[in-house]
Amino acid sequence: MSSEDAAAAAMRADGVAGLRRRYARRYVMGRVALYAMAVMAALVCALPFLWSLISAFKQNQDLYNPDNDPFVFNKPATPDHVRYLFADTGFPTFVGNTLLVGTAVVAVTLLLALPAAYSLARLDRPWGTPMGIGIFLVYLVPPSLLFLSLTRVVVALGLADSLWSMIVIYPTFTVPVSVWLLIGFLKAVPKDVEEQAMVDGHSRLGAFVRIVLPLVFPGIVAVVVFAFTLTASEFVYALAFVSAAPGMVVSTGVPTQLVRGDVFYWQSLQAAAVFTAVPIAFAFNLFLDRFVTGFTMGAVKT
Amino acid sequence: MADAVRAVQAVRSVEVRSLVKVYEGHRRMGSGTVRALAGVDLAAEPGEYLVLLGPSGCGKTTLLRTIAGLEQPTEGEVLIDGQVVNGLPPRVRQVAMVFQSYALYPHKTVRANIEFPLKAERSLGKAARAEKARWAAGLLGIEPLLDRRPRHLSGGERQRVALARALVRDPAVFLLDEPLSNLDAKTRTAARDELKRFQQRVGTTTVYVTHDQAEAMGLGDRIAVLSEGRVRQVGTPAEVYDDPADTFVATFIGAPPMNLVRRDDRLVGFRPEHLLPVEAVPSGARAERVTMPLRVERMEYLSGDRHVYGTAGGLGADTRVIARLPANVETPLHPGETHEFAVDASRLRFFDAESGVRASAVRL
Amino acid sequence: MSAAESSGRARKVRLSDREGFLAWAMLLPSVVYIVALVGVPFLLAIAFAFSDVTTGDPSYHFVGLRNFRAIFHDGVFWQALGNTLLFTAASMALIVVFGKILANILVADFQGKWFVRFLVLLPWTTPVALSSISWLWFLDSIYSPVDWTLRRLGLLHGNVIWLGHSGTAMLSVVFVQAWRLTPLAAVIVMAGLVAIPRDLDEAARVDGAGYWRRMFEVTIPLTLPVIAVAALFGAIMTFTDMTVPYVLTRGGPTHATDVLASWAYFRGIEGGDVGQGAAIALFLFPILLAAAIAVLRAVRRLGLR
Repeated sequence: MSSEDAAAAAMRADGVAGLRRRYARRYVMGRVALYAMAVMAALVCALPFLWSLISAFKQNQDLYNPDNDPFVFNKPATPDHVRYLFADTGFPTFVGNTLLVGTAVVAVTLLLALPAAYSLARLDRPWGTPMGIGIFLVYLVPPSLLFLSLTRVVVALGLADSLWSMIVIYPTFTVPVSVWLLIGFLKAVPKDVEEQAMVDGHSRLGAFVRIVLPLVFPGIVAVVVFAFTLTASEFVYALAFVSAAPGMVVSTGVPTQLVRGDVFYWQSLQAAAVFTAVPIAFAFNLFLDRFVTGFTMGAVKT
Repeated sequence: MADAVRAVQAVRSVEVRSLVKVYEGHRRMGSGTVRALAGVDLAAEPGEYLVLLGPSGCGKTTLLRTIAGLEQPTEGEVLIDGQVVNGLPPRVRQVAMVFQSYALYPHKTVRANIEFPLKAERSLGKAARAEKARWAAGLLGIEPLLDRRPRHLSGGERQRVALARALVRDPAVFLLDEPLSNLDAKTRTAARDELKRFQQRVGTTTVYVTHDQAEAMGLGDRIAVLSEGRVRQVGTPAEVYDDPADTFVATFIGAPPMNLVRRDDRLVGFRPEHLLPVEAVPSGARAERVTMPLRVERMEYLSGDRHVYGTAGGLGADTRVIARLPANVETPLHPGETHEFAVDASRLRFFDAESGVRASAVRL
Repeated sequence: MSAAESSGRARKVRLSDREGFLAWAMLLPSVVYIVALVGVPFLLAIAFAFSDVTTGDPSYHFVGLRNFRAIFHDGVFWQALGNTLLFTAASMALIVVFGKILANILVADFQGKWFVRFLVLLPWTTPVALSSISWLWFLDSIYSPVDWTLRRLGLLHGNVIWLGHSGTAMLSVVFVQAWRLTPLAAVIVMAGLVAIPRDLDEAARVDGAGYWRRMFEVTIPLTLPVIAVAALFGAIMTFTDMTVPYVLTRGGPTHATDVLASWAYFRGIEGGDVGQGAAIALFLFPILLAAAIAVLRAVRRLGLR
């Protein structure tokens, strides 16, 4: 007898209450399992940061004693190392540089990617699809393959050790992925709206600028956040192009400049990691659903 | 042969008792709570074809999903074959559902789609499963499609596959959620006919959701008219049409809808086809008639009938009404003219002007 | 309207309305940018591989296959190649499995989901160089809290020195890489999950399928193309990445965690031998190409649905 037959038979007999209890229990177990998994996932992902946060406020005697419980304050907490990070290291400079580079790269990216995405999403050309896929594949060409020659290019352009080197080169990886996301968002705008605008006397270009752009604004915001995140995380180019501290960004400055020889400013390093990580993850989380839909739409119809 | 394969399945009843379903608004979104079902009592007899009819948002789909077990009711009970099934998941309720989209598994062949529900019954071997799938496919005439995938099927074929998949497990109840709404007008009529014949053949209790009154009238043994989470009326198509319980049912069913004329604390209702030029309404000792002057404003010719739009006076407040004149009524009418119209008094229905529910007749 | 005015308007309309012209004009800047800064450097990289260019002497002399001969005779190159493959395969396996699980958690409905999502995204949104630093301290040879916990549980005396032995160093690098890319894979798989019509899952529930059957017979087959995309993203980003080994171990101990990318960096930038560095990096290309084609096919299949 199958389980379903058994279930039916049980229903027929007096077992409905029992069956209901069984499924109620199963439901509760499912919920408990879900919460357990969620907490586990959050812990595994965030534990190093959590622990960094605690370490950042520890006194040296507390931190550098292998017998101390590393997860609690064994001595009173101290803000000294965090103050040191902001007052006596290049960290504020690195943050400023990162913001500067990020903003400039995002601007260049939008300028290039928006028209390109519109062209691929809407102005149906026979080469549209292969071109779209081609641009997407460029995203997969890794920095590790290009940094040697790009370093020569940067030197040749006289941009070595300057923020401009990153502003010029980073769009090579932000543009492809932004085009991909924007195609998805643009395809979600009903064609009718645009055609209405054209009937109402706007040119194709005018319809794009006046009607379509405002409609995909939420998508554009998502792309801005995404491109900024990629820019802030980039490591290899930044390391190869810039070797002087004043031109460094967070991702290279912190690991190279906050370590003097073998002396690690551990608490300050941890604080730097946390202070950088939290705002980016926060912004990213705000737009997560949009990335998800953007990715799907771009993928389904390209 | 088909009947030999088919397990003997008792025909079951479905019932819901004071069913309430409240959707909590999303806290962060700040949206309010929605009462999708506000106390619904309804029963489908064993073997009955019950149609849930109502405008979108009336709660009919929520009711169907609650019967299926896809939603849990906030209050009230769902009974299948007299057993309360609240809290039981869909899979032990012995129901089968056909979704609006048909929800065929796109990565599976038609055969695998039909066999999918059978895999839940572990006692069935591979051969038995194949046999039952063939039987169901045969019943719907889709054997040639068994090795195709859903995306290569037409809308009508998809419906048949969905029905075969629903049928194959010998469910106690069929639940159909607007299965015809994705078909074009032409195939829809044929598919409706097929649905009716199919149910007559298998005799399984069926609850069918639609917003299309033609479907409801054509398919249902009984129709339950829903609005704003409540059942307004349950009855045979003729009852619902001829004796609407309130003005909602009166105007929702029938195209064009029932005319309603305000007179004191009553609304007097009559169907457009009963409003005829006075000479076309017989009068005598047994058949009393009510007359009114109608100023003709506009006329439409629809497949032989004349639809006359005008303003009726005399009966009560001046009201815009519609008259539907069959082809054999040849009275010449012209826009702008006033003509005497009449309704057979037995055709009049009276509603309370405040609440809209049926009320006692008044002398006119 | 005068004739001049109407012809002027006609010309204006023609420019901004011709789709063929617009399509090119709007696409061209991006294409030129990418060709100039990806295409040209790529060719340059190939040229460098056959040259004697160094950081100190940037003049170009063609040296044929000398660089390739040199790296083939260098045991470290072969070790790095093997490490790269191991690093990629192991991380990718972890990324796919945990990415799928994480995606399933993230699409479910529960209290505090926003906060959990925030925490879960941290590994990916944090600049990898910084999160690696957190790990560096987490795996410290003396003060590692992992060791401390193990000591507390009585499983360990002294220290493991995670990054000091070749086995545990590789294990650490793989784990950190999987840790940081799993959220990305989860986001990609989530995109696939939310694209499945709700009807299908509900139909399966009515059809009597339990959680695991729905998972393996409906959800996973339908998201397979997206999972493939996530896997290949993970693979490519791992295969070509050097950040985690660079920050955690600097390729050590004794090249045990050197991968092609980091070895190319050490040779080409820190060692100054651009030619050899380029030759090493070039080995990434054929495998990348194969992976890119695989992505393409997965995307195609995704489009068919």
